[in-house]
Amino acid sequence: MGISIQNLTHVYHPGSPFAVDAVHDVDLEISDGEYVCVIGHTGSGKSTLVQHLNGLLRATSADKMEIEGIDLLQKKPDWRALRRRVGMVFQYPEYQLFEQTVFDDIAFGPKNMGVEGDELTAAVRDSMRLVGLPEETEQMSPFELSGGQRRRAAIAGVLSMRPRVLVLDEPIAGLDPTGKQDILRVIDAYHSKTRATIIMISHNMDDIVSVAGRVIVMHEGRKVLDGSPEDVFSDPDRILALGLGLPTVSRIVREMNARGDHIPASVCRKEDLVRFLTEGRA
Amino acid sequence: MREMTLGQYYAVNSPVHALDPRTKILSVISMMALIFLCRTFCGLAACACFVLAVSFAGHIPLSKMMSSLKAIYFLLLFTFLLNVFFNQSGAVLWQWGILNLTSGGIKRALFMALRLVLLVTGAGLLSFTTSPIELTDGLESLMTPLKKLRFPAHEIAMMMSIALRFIPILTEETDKIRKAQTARGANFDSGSLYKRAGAVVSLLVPLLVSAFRRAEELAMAMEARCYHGGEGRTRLKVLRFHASDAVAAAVVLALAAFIAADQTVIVSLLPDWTG
Repeated sequence: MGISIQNLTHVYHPGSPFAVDAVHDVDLEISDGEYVCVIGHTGSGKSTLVQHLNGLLRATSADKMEIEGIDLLQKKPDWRALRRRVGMVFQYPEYQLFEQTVFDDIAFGPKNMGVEGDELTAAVRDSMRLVGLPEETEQMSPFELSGGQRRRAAIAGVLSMRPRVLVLDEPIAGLDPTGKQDILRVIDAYHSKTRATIIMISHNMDDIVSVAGRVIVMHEGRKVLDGSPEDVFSDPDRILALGLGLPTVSRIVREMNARGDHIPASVCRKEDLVRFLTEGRA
Repeated sequence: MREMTLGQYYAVNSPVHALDPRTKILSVISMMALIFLCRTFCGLAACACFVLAVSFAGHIPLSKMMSSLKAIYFLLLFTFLLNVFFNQSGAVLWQWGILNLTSGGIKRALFMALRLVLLVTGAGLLSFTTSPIELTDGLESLMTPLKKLRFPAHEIAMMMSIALRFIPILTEETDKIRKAQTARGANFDSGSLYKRAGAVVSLLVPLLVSAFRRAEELAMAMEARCYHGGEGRTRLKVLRFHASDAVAAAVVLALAAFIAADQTVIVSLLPDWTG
């Protein structure tokens, strides 16, 4: 199944003087079970791009839009099926909590999808366990939770729909380091448990190299780089020219090479650097 | 981009836009009074010329002017019909059952409809050419004399500008939450009434919570910067009258003089068919 998009273009306010070409001619092929990170400067079109994946935005023009077996170019795609298959976690998702209890809030998604009774309870409890919310929080108001817990409850509200594709827009923004690690672990656990496709927008390059199997770089509405983290970060000057940062390890490699070392620029993970330095120099 | 959602302000550079907001507010108030006082078609025509001339000088396209009438189409029609059939003066032109169409009725109905159109388009001129921020500044300045009577002019103006400032923020927030809940299967456009009400709750509760949160943050930020109300406060943009304001005032006075003259001359010459 997977995701297959060709020549996607999205223009905000078309025909008005405020028209903005947010996404331009993007091709995207993502197979099942991939862990993809999308990076790019503010306004590069990454959020616009991912909002097409579950139909929150409709393409201004596209030659092909097939997502998890649903053709989005047909007149009336089955939105409900699409939204069940593609879950979307927005920035600061804790601001969408609204129900009286954590349980009800997490149940909101699957309930809308027609899940009922024991199946619903199981779905809610499963995702609470997955995000690490203790069972006693179930009957608490979402507003009684701590910041990190609220974020996890909100993510649980998306996971409870059991999406086959999970899209996350900067899920770790504004959390402390422990909170960040918790969320990344939750995403990783969901990925390995269900083999779901993960598409995550992030600004933290170090997290990206440690979790992503593939990195897509957006710039001014276009997809400019697409490949494994090693490929993408192997041209550090290009990344810097796009206004993006480098992973810490790439920065160290760059610095060492500037002082006369010859470490391949594709080394961007800590383990790889350590291995290279210990084995390569021996 | 954000300005788009803020009221009806039509952002171009024109002599009308450049006028002091106080001049514009007072002119619009006087014009409305004139429209109400005026009792002849001739006077209304003068007002219409004034409105058209100002919209031309302000570079406001006619289509934009007409769009401000959209809100009162129904009222306009209602007023017209009511006047046509309930004013039974003059010659009977057409009769059907209890409905009488008289020349006096038609005149009266046209007069009332024109008056309404002018009132609305005239008020529209103010909001097209004056940004909401200028408007509140102007209002605050005009209300200053009332401070002597312990009227909280500054506070009211501050509340107005904060409210205006928050419109685009809350619009954006609504859009975000709506998307997030749609992604969770909430349906705002179709489905049973019960389901749709549930979807609206999922939008309103987070919106309300965030409005309170933002209000609290703003209050804190204002307090941290020692905000203490209007007393002794200076402003970044000081309102000043220019020569063009004098010209504008002269034009409005001329209009008033014309209508006053028109009233006394014509009323004394013609039979009073409007009353």
